[in-house]
Amino acid sequence: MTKILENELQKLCIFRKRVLPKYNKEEYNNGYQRKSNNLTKNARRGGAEEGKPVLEQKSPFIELQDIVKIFPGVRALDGVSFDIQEGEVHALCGENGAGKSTLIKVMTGAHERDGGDYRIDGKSVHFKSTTEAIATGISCVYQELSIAPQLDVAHNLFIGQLPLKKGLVDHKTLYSETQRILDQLDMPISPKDIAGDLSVGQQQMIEIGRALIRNARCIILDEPTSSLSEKETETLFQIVRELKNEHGIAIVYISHKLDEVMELSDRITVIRDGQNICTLNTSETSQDELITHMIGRPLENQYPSKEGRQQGEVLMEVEHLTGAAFEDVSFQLRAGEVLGFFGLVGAGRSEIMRAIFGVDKTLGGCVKVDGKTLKKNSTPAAIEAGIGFCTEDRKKEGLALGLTILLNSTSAKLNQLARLGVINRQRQLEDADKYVKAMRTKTPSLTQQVGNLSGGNQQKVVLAKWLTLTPKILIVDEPTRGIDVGSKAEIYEIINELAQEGMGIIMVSSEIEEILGVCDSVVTIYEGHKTAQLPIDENLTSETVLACSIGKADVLERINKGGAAE
Amino acid sequence: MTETTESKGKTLVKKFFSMNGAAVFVAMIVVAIVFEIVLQITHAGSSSGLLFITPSNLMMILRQQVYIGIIAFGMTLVMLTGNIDLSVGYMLTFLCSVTAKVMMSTNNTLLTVLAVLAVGLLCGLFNGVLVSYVRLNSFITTLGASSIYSAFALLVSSGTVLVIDSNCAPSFRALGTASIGPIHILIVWFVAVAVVLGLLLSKTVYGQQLYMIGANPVAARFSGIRFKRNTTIAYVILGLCVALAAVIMMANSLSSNPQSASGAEMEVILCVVLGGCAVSGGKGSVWGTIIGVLFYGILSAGFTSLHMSQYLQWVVMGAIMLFALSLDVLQSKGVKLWKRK
Repeated sequence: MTKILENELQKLCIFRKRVLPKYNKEEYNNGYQRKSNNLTKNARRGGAEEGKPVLEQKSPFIELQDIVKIFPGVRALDGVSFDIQEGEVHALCGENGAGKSTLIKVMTGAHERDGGDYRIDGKSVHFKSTTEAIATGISCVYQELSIAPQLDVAHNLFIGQLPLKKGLVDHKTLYSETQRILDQLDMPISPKDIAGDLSVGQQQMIEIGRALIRNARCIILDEPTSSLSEKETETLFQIVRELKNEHGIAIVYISHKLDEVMELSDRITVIRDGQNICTLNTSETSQDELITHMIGRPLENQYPSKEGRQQGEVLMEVEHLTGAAFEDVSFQLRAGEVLGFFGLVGAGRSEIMRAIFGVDKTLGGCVKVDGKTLKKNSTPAAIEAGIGFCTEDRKKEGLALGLTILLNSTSAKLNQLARLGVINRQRQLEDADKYVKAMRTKTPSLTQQVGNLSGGNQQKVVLAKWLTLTPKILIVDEPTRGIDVGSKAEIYEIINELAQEGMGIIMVSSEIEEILGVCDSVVTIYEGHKTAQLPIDENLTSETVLACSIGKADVLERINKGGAAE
Repeated sequence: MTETTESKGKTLVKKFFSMNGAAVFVAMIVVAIVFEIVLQITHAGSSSGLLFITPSNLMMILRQQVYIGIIAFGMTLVMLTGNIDLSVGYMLTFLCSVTAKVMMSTNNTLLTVLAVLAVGLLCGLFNGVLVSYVRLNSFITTLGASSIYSAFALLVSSGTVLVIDSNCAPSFRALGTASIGPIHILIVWFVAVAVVLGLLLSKTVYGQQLYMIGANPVAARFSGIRFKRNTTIAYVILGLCVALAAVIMMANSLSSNPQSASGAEMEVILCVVLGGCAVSGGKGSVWGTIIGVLFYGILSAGFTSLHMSQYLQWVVMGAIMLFALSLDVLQSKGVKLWKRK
């Protein structure tokens, strides 16, 4: 098995060379940068004299010029310039670690800049705290939500500025105002619902609502759709458009999902290595061009070829599994198979996986690995049987951010690395080193705290943690959530290689494209029920998968009658 | 690549601040020197040579801290899991009473030691099961348990001071008064517990899993770590540490007063926190706790030699503990304590 993974590592290297050629900086600079510089200049001047107006002539609402931010030993931002007009959706694109987050933190006052100029309405500003930025009208909705789970929706929405009447909280206004905002945001919930019971998407809407209450003139959305369902994403887009068109609010939109960026934004600024590469009009660019700018070279096919995978005997059988959030789910997983699980957020996909892994309690049914029934509700038993589980939320469930890569990557394996309870440090180091390297994790050392790594690299540590166990079955839940394009392709390739080596893989995902590109077949889950299992071939369209996952009766009937999707 | 250099830069800063033990160690030496200077000034001319930093004085300080230290090592394990045990003070009083009672009625050393260890184990198990299986908040649980143990202490001793006859079995007395070569047995106990628990934390699966549990209980669960069992075991080990402390304390002093309000829990927690252990869990080590114990010993010995009143000492110690806790919490929240520019 060790050998196999070494092979895998080699293949991975070959793959990188093949798909991701080293980019020639000079060639690149001669090509894109000059063009993009022109574009940026045009944008600043309005570009009217070139006969190619980039936007109507307006003085920019927010202007950043040559922003520099230095952290000890690194220039995180090395002269970033861009501007935001009132009432535009301006997308920021770039790979993980390109400097987007730092830039946002400078904009929202979480960091002070070390150089450059930051002007709002033409006036230079120096925010010392986020509160000052909010008062000026710049609000940010972060990836990590700040919801008080025990409080109700209304209190969460108006947190910090509850409406008062004679010095006491005016609950009547509070709830009626909340209702008004919920209606505006098209949210089918009551102001008195407890925030902790809501879905992540709904919680996020509360944050956007909060920005609205604060009279934000510019709302920064940081990866807003990474945990939203399709419908919630659609709703979000509608609301963003409404904010922009009717209220003239500027939106800074940060996302790894380029199709969303293309759909929603007016202009796109690409950032790489702490510098702005270019600002483009969305209508005049394409996803491919964006990717080229983001990674500095053209990207070929993201998805690995499925050839070379061979399905072997049945590894795992799940029979009539029932839990709190799902009912009577049965399926089989074969060696060398990549089985996709698709469903809307909240459909119960992750819950099924958690139950299989023994984390959540099951109410009925069983899981068999190699024909043997697993002990119920026991994670150690599941690991023993050869199941690995890369969880969806790596910060909450996958990693201890304050501990080292060494301990994190071997935490599930400590028992196997020890004799009489004493850990063999040498073996632990070797194991961690091998897999962390195999994943091409960018880190100075194994004793680095995981919290200091970027999202993509953290995800690789989670993968390494399970691969050290050389599991027979690997469950990956949203493996590419919040990860940049380059790392995504690497993760797909890793999954493909593992399947080729005979591992059975379950991939849970909210992105249909990803499922179709990587998996052999897909199970659709709708409201806790398995609605269909479809083999993936050229005939299967994303519409069919989506229809099954929202329980469209006519499609399901056709499929169940006619066998595979036609 | 920006990414690697960025994390490198962060590491340097992080490294500096993760050397909590080192910082406290330096602070401890500085404090010792300050005491020395102050004592030299107040005793000007009356003595040549050192007053505070003398081998015999330092040895005495260490000997005074042995009981607290042994409990603090056990407490380190519990606090690593992100929990706490406020009941150790009264647990110590209770176990001292048990030691005295059993010793007085049987005069059998082995039986006494086993009985006290068994009761200590049960106390730890009680706390541990409530905290990890019933999932009560550890502050409240052990606060409640504390009240139970204080009552037990009074029940066992009928509220009187128990004094073991000084003609009791010599093997019992030896547990607290013998010397191995030039080294007092109390110090041997201290070092032994430190080494055993230090190795347990750094070298064994169990110890490493404790870090995982404290740093992120959910991730630990997803890694197949039996976090309930492990947390309970940490409490049991603490209970055993308290039992050991009770035995050697009684062997040394021969009398237990069930009505002395203990306060040992605060001293223990202060030592552990001074040693760099995070109250939120996942951070700390036995090495750090040793430094914490020594620091605390030097502080309290220094204050006493300056004739500071006991009450005032408690004020200062409480303030130091709250300060150390605040530093820890602020740092873990990422609040920058220096100017941002």
